This record gives sequence, C-alpha cells and structure tokens, in this order.
Amino acid sequence: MGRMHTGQAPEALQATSIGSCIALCLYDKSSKIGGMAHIMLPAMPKTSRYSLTTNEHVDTDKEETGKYADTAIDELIAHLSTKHVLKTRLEAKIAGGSEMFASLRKRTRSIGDQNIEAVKLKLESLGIPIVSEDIGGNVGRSVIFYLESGDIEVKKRM
Amino acid sequence: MNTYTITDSQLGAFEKHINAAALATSSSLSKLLSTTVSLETVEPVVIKPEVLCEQVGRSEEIFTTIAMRFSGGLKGIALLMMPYDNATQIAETITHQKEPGDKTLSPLAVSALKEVANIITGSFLKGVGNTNDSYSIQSVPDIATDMLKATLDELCSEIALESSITTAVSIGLSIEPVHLRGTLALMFDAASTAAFFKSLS
Repeated sequence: MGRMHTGQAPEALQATSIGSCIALCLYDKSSKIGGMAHIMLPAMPKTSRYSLTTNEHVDTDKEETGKYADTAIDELIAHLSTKHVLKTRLEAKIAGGSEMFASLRKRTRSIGDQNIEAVKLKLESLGIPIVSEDIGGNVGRSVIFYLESGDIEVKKRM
Repeated sequence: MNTYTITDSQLGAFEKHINAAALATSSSLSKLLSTTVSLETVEPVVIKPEVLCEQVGRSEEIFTTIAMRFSGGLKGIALLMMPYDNATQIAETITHQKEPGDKTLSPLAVSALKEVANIITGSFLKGVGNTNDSYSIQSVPDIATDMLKATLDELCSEIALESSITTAVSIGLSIEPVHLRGTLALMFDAASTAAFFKSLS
C-alpha cells in the first residue's frame, strides 16, 4: 500500500489483494514503459491528524505521498518522466475501490468510492484517458500489469 | 497535526494488561467451543496502519474476517481473522451443520461466527477496561470472506485517515485438538489510546 513501481517490457508489475485501494496503471504504448501505484486514500489530510510518538519511533508524513490519489499520480508521472515518457502519451487503467464491510461505514460514501472518484478526477485534470476499469463492488482483486501489451489481468475470488 | 507520546514503560504496562485480557479471551472461546483454546502470541505494537495490514498474513489467502467497531474508554476496530477452512470448521462445531465449502458461508454459520467474534472481543475489551475502570461497547459485527489483505484495506485506510500510526494488539489463538487458528486484532484510535496510556501512568 502506498507504493509505486515503474518498468519496461517484458516486465510485469503486480499489486495483490486490493480492497478499497486502487491499483492505478499508467502506460505509454510507444515505449512500452509503464508504472503502477497502489493508492490507499483519496487525498492527503489537510486538517488535524493524530500522530503517536514512541521513544523509538517518531512518525512523519514524509515519504507518504504514494498513499494519496492527489499526490501519488503526480509522483508516478514524475517517475515515468525520468524514463523520458511524456504525460501526453499516457493512458490509464484502474482496478479496486471495493467495500467489504458496508454496515460498518462511518461516512456517507465508502473509502473505495472516494478513492475511485479522486483518481478519476485527478486523471481527468491531467488529460490522461482511462481506457479500462474494474472497480467497486465488494470483492478483493489482484492485478498484474503486463508491460509488453499494456494489458491488465484482474484476479478475483472465485 | 496533534502528536501523542507513548513511552516504553506505558507500552510495557499495557502488555501486562493485555496478556491478562487475552487469557480471558481464550477462556471465553474455550467455553463456547467446549475445547482447549491456547494463546500463540499476544503482541502490542505501534505501527503504521498500512504496514499492519501487510503483516497480518499472506495477502491472497482466503480468510473469513469478522469486523466490528468499539467505542467508549477505548475506541477502534476489532477484527477476528481465520482461514476460510478454519472458519467453516468452527461454525460447524457450533451449529452442527455442514457448510458448503465453496468459499461461502450459510446464514447460520455467519451468525455463529459473528457471535464468536462478539464474545471474544467483548471479553478482551472487558479485561483491558478492568485495568482503569473504563468501558467499551461494540457495534454489530460484519463479515467478509475474501483475500485477506483486501478485507483489511478499508479498515486500515480508515484508521490511517485519522492517525498516521496506530496502536494495535494481535492475539494468535490456537484451537485444539483440530489445530485451527485465528487472530484477534484490535486497532485503537490515537486519541483514546493516549488517554488510556495516560491512565496507566
């Protein structure tokens, strides 16, 4: 969760057992270079947020940008640009955003729904088209992103 | 961002209390199943929610997870996690009814497993609350059978919305003589944890 990776054909990238998170795959067909981000939450919190500090561990929000849709997508594009991939050549595929415990929901909308919306809005604002999606519902997903073809394989519980 | 401090001595004191509460938990489950339930591990950790989510087990293994909220003296989320096959065996022990074994659970099994989670979570929270006369109440449980990490994503994310780090307790339970295993995990919210730890000082 909160991690991202980039690669080039014939590699494949994988995110296993995704629930409310989103596996975002960005792909450049011409270079067969792509990247995947495992997004956990819609946006980096701007309001007061609690942090516990132990004697051994002082927590900070550094290196956490990969967790949030609003920052992870920019970061993934920045990683891809170091491999000379232009944003204008990217297309997106997304999977995830499910809700496993609907009766325990505290908010009007599930975290999965909020993640889906945040990812879609961010991609739209960047002009990156979503060419396929497997989202929502109440099922876990594992995603393999084949950089040779740009295809994603979504495995679900049978 | 509000920051709370947990000292090593507070965490050590907490560990003593949760060991006693975990013993009460295994005892409750033993009575319910009329068999021996032993404790495999009792571990309190201060951890990032997303890291906890990844450490619980093999991510794609099919687990049955029963989740509930608790609030009061301590607030948070409790999870009873069992491999699907183990969950069906526990349900069959209680209901005396054969489960289909196709990664689904009958309504009777669902009720039985929710009750198991309710009883042992209540037992643990009561044990912990006894240390400072606090009281926590539980919500109605919900249940899901799917890839383990997928079932935990949403709840870990919810904790992560409010706290960058959570205090969590993991209790490994072993049910003899059939070698069933399960884990009761509780994730506490930062504010109530800090207040609880302060009361221990």
